[in-house]
Amino acid sequence: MRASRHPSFLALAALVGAGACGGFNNGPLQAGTVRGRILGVESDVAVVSVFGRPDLRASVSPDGRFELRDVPATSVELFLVASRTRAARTKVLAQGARIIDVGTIDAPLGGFITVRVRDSQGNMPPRATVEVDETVFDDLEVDASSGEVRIGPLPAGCYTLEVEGDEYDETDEDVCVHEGEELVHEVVLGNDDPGGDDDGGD
Amino acid sequence: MLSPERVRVNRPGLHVVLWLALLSLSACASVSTGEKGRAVRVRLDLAELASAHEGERHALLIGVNHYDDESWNDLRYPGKDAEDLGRALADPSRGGFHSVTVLSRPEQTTRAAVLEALRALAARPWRPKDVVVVYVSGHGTLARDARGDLQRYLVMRDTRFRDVQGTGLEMAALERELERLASRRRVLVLATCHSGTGKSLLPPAVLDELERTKAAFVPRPLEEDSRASLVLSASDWGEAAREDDALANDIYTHFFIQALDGSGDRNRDGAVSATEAHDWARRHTWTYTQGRQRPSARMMEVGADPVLLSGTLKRPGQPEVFSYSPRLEGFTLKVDGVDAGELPGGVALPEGRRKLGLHKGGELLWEDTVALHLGERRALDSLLRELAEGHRRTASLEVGALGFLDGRSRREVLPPTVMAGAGLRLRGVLLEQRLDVGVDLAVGAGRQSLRLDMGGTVPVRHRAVMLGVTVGPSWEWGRLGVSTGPRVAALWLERSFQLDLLSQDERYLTVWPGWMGGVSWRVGARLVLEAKGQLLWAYVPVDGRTRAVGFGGLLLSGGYRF
Repeated sequence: MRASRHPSFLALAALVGAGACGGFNNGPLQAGTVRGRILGVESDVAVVSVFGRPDLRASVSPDGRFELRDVPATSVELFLVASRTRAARTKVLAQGARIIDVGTIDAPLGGFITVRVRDSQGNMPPRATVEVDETVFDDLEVDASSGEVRIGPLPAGCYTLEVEGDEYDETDEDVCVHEGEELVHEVVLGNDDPGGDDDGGD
Repeated sequence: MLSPERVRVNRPGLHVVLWLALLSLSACASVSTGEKGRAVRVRLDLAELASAHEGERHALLIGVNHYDDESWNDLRYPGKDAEDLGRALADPSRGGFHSVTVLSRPEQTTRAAVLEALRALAARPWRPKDVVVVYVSGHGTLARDARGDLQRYLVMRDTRFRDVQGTGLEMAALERELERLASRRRVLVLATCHSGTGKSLLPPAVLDELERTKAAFVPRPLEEDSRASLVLSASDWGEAAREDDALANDIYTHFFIQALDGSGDRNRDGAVSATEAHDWARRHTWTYTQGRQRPSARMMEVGADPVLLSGTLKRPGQPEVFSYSPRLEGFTLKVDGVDAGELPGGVALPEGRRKLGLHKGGELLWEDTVALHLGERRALDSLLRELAEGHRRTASLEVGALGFLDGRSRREVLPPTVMAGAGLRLRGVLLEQRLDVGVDLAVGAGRQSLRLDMGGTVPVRHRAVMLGVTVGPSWEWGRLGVSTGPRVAALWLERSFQLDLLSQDERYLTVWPGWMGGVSWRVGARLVLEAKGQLLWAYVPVDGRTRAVGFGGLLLSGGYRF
């Protein structure tokens, strides 16, 4: 064919054959940094995390400043523990590859939950742990002598308590706490079911 | 030396059967010919102009008054026509011809004598710039040749009505004799007719055949096929050439001679060219006969080097536009909105940019603004041919937008980009003029935001450069045009982030295959608006994985056709 030999076609073929190079990477755009300042901090206990992502956490400097990195570039809620008595939750829209400053946060008094753990016979389990889901409060040992553990300060809100005990079924219970509240919550652990699919096993 | 751009004129394909007579002269303005639709331009150096017209002028003028066969009625003025024209041509103050041979006596107008004179003419040492004029006034007729085809014949003194083929002077033979001349400035003037009236007489069988032939299919006169450069006829096809006692001449010849005294110098360059003389005679013949006789002309070659019949070039002439094409007959030429004359013919115009238009019956056939320069002659046929064939190239400026077809890629990878660019489309350059080739280059930039899937926006500055080639057919229906075809585009994309935690440029270069389609609307002789859409397919690496994506664009363009 005459056309197939035409220089234009050859040029086009050469261009097609040239292939491609480069590309795009959205990875760095997936997360950003959130920073701010908390008033009245006790830096030895103060911590900032993303509610629902307790692995994303940062400490707070004595002057209350914090910088939380790798925060997903979406709307998140910060879980802040300012001191031994104060805590707060605050929503923020994190932006990819950018730093968002949430400003100064004056955390109110937090709530405390005293979790009292018993088995179905009313006995104290020899060993149990309590975790507040989605928060930095995890693997809190229950006092074997009293069968209780006090958790807080928790920002006012509702939480899921996850209680585990040796040879007992894991138990999840929802509980809401208010600002400055001292709440006692009793959790009854069921016996581990060997035939069940729960952990515990043989 | 003249350096005219070449102009090629259509050669009507049909051979003729009939023609009628009048006077005609054919001058051959021979020029180099070539490019279509271009202006015939001349350098305006007067000395060069004059030298271009150097060469001797010679004429053979034949006037047949008397006929041996009583079937041909004798005519009164052909001999006088030839002699009067001969005097004008030989007059140093007018034609200044080096030699003028007049054949008008009975013994000079036999077939053998005329052929001998033609041979003697051919025997001269002709140079390309020499002018030769052959003029015939007398009867013309049609007859079948040995193959049974109708041919045109000039009736000589001894031509027998019952044996025209054997005793007449076949036009083809006359043509052959002229073609043998080395001169490229040949003019044949036919003061005969072939309609069966006036100075023509046709055998009954031929008349019968002509009467049964529909006009649209009547073979056109030989002049159309002649390779002579210019054939001027005293009457149009089917009309009689008339003698007039008051003028004591053939009417056309009378005014033709009149033009040679300088009256016909339309462009005021000091000389009267063959076409100027013809136009003068045509216009006055038309008026004199109250529209019953319309002299015609056929040009086989046209250039800036018209055959000069009288006078000498003293200055560059006014710009001229002209047409002797049958297809433009009856059209009115308007210049800057004012009637300038009816075609066929030519007009001289003031120098400068002139808006030319061809109108007929209220309809506008063509309109364009043309820059006219001194000494320039433009063939309207060529400009019209451009219209008929369309301008072959279109250069355009484009604006539009390009972007990924799928929303996800537009949101997360690259937003649509506003583009601006330029394109060039060449019509019919591939596959025997079936396919066009278009090349376009567009660049674009923008500042928008990516909307990531997980939420949030990221401002991005992006740029794109696209170089595409499209091959495909196009069609036009009046002002509307459609084009389509496969396309390959080299695309360079860049997105740039200048963020708190990221300062980065990312680029992607690829060559994508695709398809383009366009719809155009011609808004003037040369301007066209077009909307073009294109689709491209490619693999784009995003986050380490390759996506097969489509890319689309919509461009609006304004093009100039040339």
